[in-house]
Amino acid sequence: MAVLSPSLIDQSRSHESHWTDQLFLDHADIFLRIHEEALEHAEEQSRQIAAILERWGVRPPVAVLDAPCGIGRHDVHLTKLGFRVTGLDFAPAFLERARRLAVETGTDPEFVRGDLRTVRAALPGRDGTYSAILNVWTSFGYWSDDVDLDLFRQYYALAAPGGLLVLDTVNRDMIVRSFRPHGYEEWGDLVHIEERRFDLRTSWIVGPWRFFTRRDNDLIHRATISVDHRLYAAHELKRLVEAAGWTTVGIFGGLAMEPLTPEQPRLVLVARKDEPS
Amino acid sequence: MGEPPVSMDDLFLKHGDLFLKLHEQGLEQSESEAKAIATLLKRHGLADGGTILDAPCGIGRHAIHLARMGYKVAGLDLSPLYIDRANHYRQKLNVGDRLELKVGDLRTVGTEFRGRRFDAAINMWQSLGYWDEGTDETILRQLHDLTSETGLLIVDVLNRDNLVKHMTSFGLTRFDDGTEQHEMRRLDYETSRLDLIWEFYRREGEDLKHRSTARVRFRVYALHELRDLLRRAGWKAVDEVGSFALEPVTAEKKRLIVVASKA
Repeated sequence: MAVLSPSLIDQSRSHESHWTDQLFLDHADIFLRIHEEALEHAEEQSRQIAAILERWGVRPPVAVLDAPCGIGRHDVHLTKLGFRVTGLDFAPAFLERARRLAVETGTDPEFVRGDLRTVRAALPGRDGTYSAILNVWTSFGYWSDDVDLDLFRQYYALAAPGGLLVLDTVNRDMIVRSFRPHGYEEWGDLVHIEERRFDLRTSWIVGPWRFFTRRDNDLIHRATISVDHRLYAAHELKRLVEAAGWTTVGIFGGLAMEPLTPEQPRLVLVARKDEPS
Repeated sequence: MGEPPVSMDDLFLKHGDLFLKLHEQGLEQSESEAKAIATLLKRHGLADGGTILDAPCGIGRHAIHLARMGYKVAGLDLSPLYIDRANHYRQKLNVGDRLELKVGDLRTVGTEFRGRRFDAAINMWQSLGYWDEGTDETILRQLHDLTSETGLLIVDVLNRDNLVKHMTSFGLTRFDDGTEQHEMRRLDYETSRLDLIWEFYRREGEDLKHRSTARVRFRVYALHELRDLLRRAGWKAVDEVGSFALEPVTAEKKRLIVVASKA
């Protein structure tokens, strides 16, 4: 980490590291715990993803890119289903867990370390090779609309002709309808408290996530990280994806291809790389 | 629906008499709304007696009251029927020299008032979103070009997030002349277009005799989208309220009234 002279350190957030670095690198141990909790749904979600791909004619054994992949929980199952899977993530702790998960499940997805924002550079020579590209579990909207547009363009370059893009994120309109300013979850002795503010001027949700370890009746503080991200309504996400060259082929309220309504917690968008005529 | 739906032009021109009812229904609130508009514009620097362009102005319900407050107002509307009506109020309320009225299309407002510079422009009562987003941007850009260097703009549209949270699929309005309006509503989440079907009936005893069907479809904006649209048209959003009582914007508020500045 660069050393800043005191005069350069002020109250503004621009001098702090980005929350993704704090949450996924500095406090990877905390988020690994949350990943572990998500493992139990991974098999079912992977089947759902495979069903989405099948609906538009994408079947094993084609190449699938999962970026970011976290601990590879979908990748191992998609490999079992016969896909040739590449998972990309920038957090060494997650990739290390992903490789163990592959060993535990007897699968061999490829895992590559790289920053999502430069995914194309992290996969040199792979342009036009992936029949499906996955971005699941709210893994974009962390920086700016422009960064997302650029990401969707990089995905487009990496996709094979006719290849699919599957995006799975929070349904903004559900947040508008049932906004809760506070959230509480506990996993064993790990306690996670969210305080959220939804900024209607920007459509960003902002607010600190606090993590504690429960010790008897006390909550021992481990980390406070301001997790801020952009929420897209379906029509906005559709427009952004299409601006990157993709053709939207399906919009759903979840990976099970439920109809999108403002009650659905998730927004799933499926797009295809159509050949320019 | 038995009858083919009518287009927007049909609605405002051929079926103008029906839509006129909606306008006149809005007339009672107009004075307090005009006061709220003046308060917002003053808050951001509009001088007493300044010039205001109201496009589109409908039957002039805001324009007339703003003129009564001493502003010099120009109003534009596509419908000769509405402009006639506005002229009627102009005479009745004695604001002749402070109110100019013109029949013309909002989409070419820049041509309609070529060479003019107003201190402020207002675009009220969901008068955007009837075409595509590019057209909305060109309308806002023309309003930008029609205002002075320190020019202000007020845009008043429905708050998409209020619709997401609270919209019901049916609404009913009764008019004094025995007309009853049924409104069927649907929000298309892939395009953010609100689709309204209006059935107008005449009450005869307990029966409702069908008079006309109209279909209106328009794009609804969330606050962040409207701010972005204004930015693309050269404006900077400087203030917003969620009602004519000047309350803050939340998903509970039906309107988005955004003040933008050129400076």
